[in-house]
Amino acid sequence: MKPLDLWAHELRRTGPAALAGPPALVLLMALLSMFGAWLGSRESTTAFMLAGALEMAMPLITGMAAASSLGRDHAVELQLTLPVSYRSTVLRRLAVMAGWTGLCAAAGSAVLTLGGWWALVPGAPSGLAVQLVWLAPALWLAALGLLASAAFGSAVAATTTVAFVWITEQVATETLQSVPASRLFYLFATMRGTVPGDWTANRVVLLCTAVPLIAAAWPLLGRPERILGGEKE
Amino acid sequence: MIATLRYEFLMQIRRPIMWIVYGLTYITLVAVFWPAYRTLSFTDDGGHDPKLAMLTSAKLIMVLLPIVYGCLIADRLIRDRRLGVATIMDASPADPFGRLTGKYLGVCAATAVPIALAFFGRAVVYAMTEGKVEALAWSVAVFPTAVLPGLAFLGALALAGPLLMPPLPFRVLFVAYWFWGNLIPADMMPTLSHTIFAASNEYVAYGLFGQTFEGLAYGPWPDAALNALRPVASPAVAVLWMGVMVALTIAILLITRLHAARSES
Repeated sequence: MKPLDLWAHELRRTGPAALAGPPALVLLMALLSMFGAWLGSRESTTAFMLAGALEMAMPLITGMAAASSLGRDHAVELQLTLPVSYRSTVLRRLAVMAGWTGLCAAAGSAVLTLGGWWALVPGAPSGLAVQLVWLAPALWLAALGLLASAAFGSAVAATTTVAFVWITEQVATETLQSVPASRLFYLFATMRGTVPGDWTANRVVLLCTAVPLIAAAWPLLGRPERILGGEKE
Repeated sequence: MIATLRYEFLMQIRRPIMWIVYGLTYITLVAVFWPAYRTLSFTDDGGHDPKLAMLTSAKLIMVLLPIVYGCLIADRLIRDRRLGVATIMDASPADPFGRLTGKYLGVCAATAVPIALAFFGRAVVYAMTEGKVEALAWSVAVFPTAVLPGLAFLGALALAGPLLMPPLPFRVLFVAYWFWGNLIPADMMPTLSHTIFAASNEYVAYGLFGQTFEGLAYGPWPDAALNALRPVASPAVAVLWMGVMVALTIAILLITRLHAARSES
């Protein structure tokens, strides 16, 4: 197989659910941006919903998709006998999935830019930094999903972990933001606000800590018996 | 039905992953709600009233743990199909609706066990630290009225939901539903939260157990949409909420059965 075929194959293997989710969200965002006023939504509310879709919903989709990307292959026993390690197959699939979600999220942020909605979101950055609004939490949750799925060997446990972290961060905003250590890890620093001047640090910390999460998953992914015994979906 | 119930219950309760995930999430729950979970009170009264403390305990548990509960139930019904044994099961003489009911009851009961353990465990700890044994009686009264109806409905929803769509989008939507329909303040956007259709609300606490907050009635929110679904709390409304939850549960199970019957033919 040529490398391009491999990538195309992985694109199909990510599954229709993971592929259709992000564009569906962007479509909803575009519709809300165009018809929000007609529906009776105040401008500030529309801007909040649009930015929320980008910073909250997009990372949730990415994290859940990453958490359920492991071990879904048929005849995984055969794949494990190939010279190509299963680890690189999974990482290739994740890269395809994350790239596709990133493309959609960039389109989503274009919707906000075109409509001039960023100006109505308090605490929103300007320029290229707006891409960090979705990039940092999405990467972090995807890394967490990968680690959880490699550690538990079960998509159910991994998706539950991602879901739980997401909901907890939504519910316990004040508690998590009151301590500097957890404030830097807070996923929704744009929408829920943070201490002035902390936003960039928060994004950098999220991006940097995603790397050790993936690194922790790396050795776990190299042990085929974990993949074979796991629950599929 | 009983055989299915027993089998599904044991299968779920012996799943190590369930206990691991519940354990981790319980630790997180205690950590993020620490001062309130220690005193079992959101105010400065110290949580010395056992009735209010048990209601607060139920409320805290129902904020985060239902997410785990729903996600863990979501793969149970479609499992038979994925393993390719659904058709064999259908060919057995067992009544299909009985099997579905047994599966529902068994799975939900097993997945609710950790929630019950967390709740009653906290009640025992409270009874010992505060020296008030009546807290145990209150906990026995609060759990079936304030927690179980919501769990019954969520269990049916999570069991049947993945029939309509793959488990991945279902879980994403379930999380979004839980946040939108149960946790956000009612005046933030049109939402089901704090209505009699929300799986986690305080109608039982305010209506049945007479909890009060600064003399305000629980019910309609100022400037919130869908206030028609938020009657002022009273014992009748609390019972109505339980009835709505049970009715929704039965409706979902019946629709699931009809769906299965249609795909059989």
